[in-house]
Amino acid sequence: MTRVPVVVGVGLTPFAANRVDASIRDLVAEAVLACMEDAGLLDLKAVQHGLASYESDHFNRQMTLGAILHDALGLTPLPNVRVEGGGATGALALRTAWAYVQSGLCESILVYGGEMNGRSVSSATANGLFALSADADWEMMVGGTYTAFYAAMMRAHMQRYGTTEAQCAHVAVRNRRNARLNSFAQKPMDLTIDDVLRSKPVAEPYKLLDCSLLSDGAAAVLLATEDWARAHGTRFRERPPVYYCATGCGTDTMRLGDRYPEITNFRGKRAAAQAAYAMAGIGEPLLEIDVAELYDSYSGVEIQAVEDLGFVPAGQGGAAVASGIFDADGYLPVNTSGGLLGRGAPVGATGIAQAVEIVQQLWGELPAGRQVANARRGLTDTHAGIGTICVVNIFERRD
Amino acid sequence: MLHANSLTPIQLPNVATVVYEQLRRQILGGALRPGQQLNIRQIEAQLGVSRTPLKLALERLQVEGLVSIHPRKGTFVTIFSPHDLRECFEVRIALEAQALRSAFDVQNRALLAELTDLFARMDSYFRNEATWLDELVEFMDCDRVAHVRMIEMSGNARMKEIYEHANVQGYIAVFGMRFSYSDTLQTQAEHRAIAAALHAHDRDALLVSARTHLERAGLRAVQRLSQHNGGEL
Repeated sequence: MTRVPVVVGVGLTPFAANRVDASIRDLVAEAVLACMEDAGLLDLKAVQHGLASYESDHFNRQMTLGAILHDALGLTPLPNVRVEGGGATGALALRTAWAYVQSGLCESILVYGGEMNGRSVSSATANGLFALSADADWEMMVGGTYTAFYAAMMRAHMQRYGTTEAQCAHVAVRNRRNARLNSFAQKPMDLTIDDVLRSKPVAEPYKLLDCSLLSDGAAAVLLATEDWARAHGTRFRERPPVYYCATGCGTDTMRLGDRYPEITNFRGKRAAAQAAYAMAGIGEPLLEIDVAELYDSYSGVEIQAVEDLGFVPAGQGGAAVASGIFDADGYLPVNTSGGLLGRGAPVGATGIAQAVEIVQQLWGELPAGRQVANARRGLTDTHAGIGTICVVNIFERRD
Repeated sequence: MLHANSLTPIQLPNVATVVYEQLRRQILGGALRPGQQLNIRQIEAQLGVSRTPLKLALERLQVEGLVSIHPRKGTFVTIFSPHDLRECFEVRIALEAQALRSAFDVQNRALLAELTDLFARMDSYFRNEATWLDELVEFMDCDRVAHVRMIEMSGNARMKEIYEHANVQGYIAVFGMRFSYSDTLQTQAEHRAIAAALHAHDRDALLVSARTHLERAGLRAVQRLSQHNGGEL
């Protein structure tokens, strides 16, 4: 019997700018309860392992949050582990859980994560805190913030390939439009390209509407061997089985200035994608993947991602995006959830929430307009920093 | 191939061939639109040829299904329905699959190298959205040659004849409708899959990728045709 993990259940909270009604514990509990219900799991203690996913002690104003959440969920004395990988935390958490199941360490594992990135601190403080995850000695001290790094990368992309601000704006418009069909999304909007181009400059070429959101939210996914899922998830037999079939990870230098030969793209993402494709047996991703959630921390990042993930050749991302090929009614719909731009980005939950969208797509449980017809294989792309840690996870429906 | 000592009438067939090729290119390139009546006198004048080679050329185009000659009414560029197109692609799929099945016993290195080169060239097009339309004619030429070469891999001359006839109809319709940019990206990805299979000498992968490509190309073409002028060009 294969040990490739199946997805037993998924759960989410709505993503919001400011969940004044809830603490991080409440949010994670909300997502886990939703996940249990989704799985038809009657006894949470039947799960064999916990895995906490959150990025920042500062934002959550709590150290050892993994232990706190594990306790709050009533999971003691089960084993637990906390995973952190910057923006890629949620995806890296799933990847770790994948290895725990594959290794035989446990038959089932609950991956839960969340973050209070919303208005718990001011935007300026938030930027400062995020800058702490750059090289504090060599980058932060000279005023390096992530928005500036991303802007420099996109500017290089524009110079080399002729990518335009309007092409970036297409991503901002589409993902926020997709969010309109997602009741859990933070920023559903009906924008035009001009709205984006005319919004307030932040770090050229990026304007306010090119930038993703700071959010409060949580997400959970229950992974298990197929045997365990059949025995414990009462809803498992009702649905087509979805396997978490492949995972890849790649890294890059911390400092943008250390990158060679260029800063137009994400080398770590190419490595992550290649590893995941080799594991999944994928040769031509544009043809073999039906739906994807991409890490659109800034609009242009999605353009860089479709190139690094091999959907289109390098340099063609801007034109490809603008052609509508990745729109909801396109050839390979991406960010049907709304992405980081439309749904939101509570860091520790982001990668897990991307997986939730893909799994629901593969189950075929999303509302019309958002559901991709006959989706059988889906991908999530998540990264930390400026592509410093990249994780690509692939899910597949096998029925 | 002509033998040095063989006697063949030269003048007329050659002029007819030139006329045929020019008209064919005009039709495939969309300069002559489906349904358009051909002004015979004007063409004669423009090309500076007499009626006979023009007639021969038009007859050849009619055999290929590119023009329809209606006595006393005139000669028209053929109109295709989505149904015609679907049929074209079904024939293409059947022929290409059969050709590739036998092709892998041949292992023609020169042909493989040429195909690899063609696919690499097609993959290098369309890097810029602003200029992609300028590259479309060249791309389609490469595409057509690549598909014919794949048929040639079978070494079956009759199959090639049948194929060229069936292929042209689908070709012109697709061309006349004009691909969208995203169509070309999909086509390129599908071609890359075929090229990878060729490179790996993976027969099963080649059959699957070629079939997938034609099926999807057919769907795209039918879809584009249906979007234009309420179903007919």
